[in-house]
Amino acid sequence: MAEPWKLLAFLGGGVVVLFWISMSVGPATIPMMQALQGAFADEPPVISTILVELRLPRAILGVLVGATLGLSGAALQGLFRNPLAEPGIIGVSASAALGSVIIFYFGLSGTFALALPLGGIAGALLAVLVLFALAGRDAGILTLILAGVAIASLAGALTSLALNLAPSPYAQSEIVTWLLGSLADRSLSDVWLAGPLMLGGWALLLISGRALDALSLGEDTAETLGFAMNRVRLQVIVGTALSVGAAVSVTGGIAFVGLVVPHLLRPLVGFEPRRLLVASALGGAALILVADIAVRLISEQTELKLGVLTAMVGAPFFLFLIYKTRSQGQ
Amino acid sequence: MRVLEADQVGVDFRTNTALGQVSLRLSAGEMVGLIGPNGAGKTTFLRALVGLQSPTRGKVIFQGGDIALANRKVIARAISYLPSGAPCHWPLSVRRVVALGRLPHLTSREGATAHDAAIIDQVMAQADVVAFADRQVTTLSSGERMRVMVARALAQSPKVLLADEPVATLDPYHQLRVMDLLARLAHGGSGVLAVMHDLSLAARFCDRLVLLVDGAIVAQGSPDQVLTPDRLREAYGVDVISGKAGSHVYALPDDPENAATA
Repeated sequence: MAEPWKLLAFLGGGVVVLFWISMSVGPATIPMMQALQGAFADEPPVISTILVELRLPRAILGVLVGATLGLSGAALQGLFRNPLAEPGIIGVSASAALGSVIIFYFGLSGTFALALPLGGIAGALLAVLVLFALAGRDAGILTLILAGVAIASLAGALTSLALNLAPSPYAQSEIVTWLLGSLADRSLSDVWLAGPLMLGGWALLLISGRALDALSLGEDTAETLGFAMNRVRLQVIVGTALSVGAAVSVTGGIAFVGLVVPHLLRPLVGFEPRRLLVASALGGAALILVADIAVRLISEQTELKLGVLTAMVGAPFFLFLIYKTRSQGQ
Repeated sequence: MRVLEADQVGVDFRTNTALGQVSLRLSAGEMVGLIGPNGAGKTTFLRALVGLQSPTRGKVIFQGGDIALANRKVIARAISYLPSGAPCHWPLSVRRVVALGRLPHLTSREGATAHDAAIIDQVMAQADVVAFADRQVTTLSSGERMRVMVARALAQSPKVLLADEPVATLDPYHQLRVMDLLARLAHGGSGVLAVMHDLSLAARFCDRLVLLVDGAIVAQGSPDQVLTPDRLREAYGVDVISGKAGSHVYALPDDPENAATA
């Protein structure tokens, strides 16, 4: 089986190249090698500071957030055995966004640097707790999806309420801008706070691979193939909450990556849920890097937000997927 | 040798009793047919036997202890369960689906070994699915697909196979093929319990039949002991024309209207 390694090598190579391009794209033209060498000097020159303080976090977060969205999308689709599932479906993205919006609303985002990410993570964790209170440990997939839809609706409603009651037009526009989703102006401290949580979430998702393979044959068969489904469900949901909660809190809403990437890569890995996980993580990272490079190249004055671009491409794709699934009679 | 035993197993769904108190011993080398009308509790019983359904009363005894306390992985290495309909949610290749049966035997460090690959080859040959090994399982006919699922169950190298209506959707040729596969597994030393609706087929392939009605076993024994017209009329509400053709017992349901007015 040489094929899967070729695909992973191709995607991995793509991420490395795109990372490099992402580092070299920006308003200032920077000689990359010179700036890299300068970064290790006692008094780094301005070009090195731009590279390390501005572009490096942006590129690293692009990889982390893209991989999180691709990986969690693939894992959720495996868990729900439905190609239309994505991180939004269990309400985690919406709740993480709500958590961050609440921080905006009460004007806490300026009080200390980490207030915003912490709010997002708290929202994601709260969503998981409510999900388990609603769906319970023995609930089937349908209950879980419905509970997720309910949580997402509630989080959306509360976000609208916060917007509605926002104290000033300035606060309102700050919230809306953040909700659009972007990697611009993030710092290395964002990477340090959100990165470990995302990595922890990835670990939980990756160890669920074999169970997701078994789930292809349904929950009963998966259980009789030796996988405790309650534990697998918990692993995937907590893994998603940790990684997506942390990702959303740093970047705002970036939609549809978790839907599009696994769908495109699935035929290339023989439709196997476990092999789709790492491929989707790399594919998600590559897609976010491409999109983030594109928004910087397309827009000159008002920067096109990353989340807007992914939604513009992703939403029609979602419609197409539903149409295709429906016409297959599934 | 006893490989699985239900000891007074009862299952309630809220106020509804699905199984009363059912006791059954399954031995190695034996093929048992579980028959009974729709809603009799056959699937619930099968799920309880493999530990998917916790009994409200009684217990299932597996390797000398209560199956509820056994490790899932240990159960999976000994008992294979073939659900009715045999779903597959992704268009995996036939070989990949069969390989899923080896999952309980894989260690976390190493993946599939040459030994696993050899077993997969062997069961695919037994189930006669080698010809379409690389096709997507979702493109197969229901008969071909069921044979793939049987191969998947065999790949588990089970001591016990619990099959829920393995031949319900198959044409006569494939019914014989699949039943023959299950019988060969049993006569190779495993215990097989299969839910059946075709009574003649059950009589032909099973060493023992168990008749379940309203969550209770009303008869068990050799096919000609169980498939008597009186019992079947009581259980299914149909008249049955039964007899022997050569060495095979047959039981043909007759018009239920006639039975009701008789």
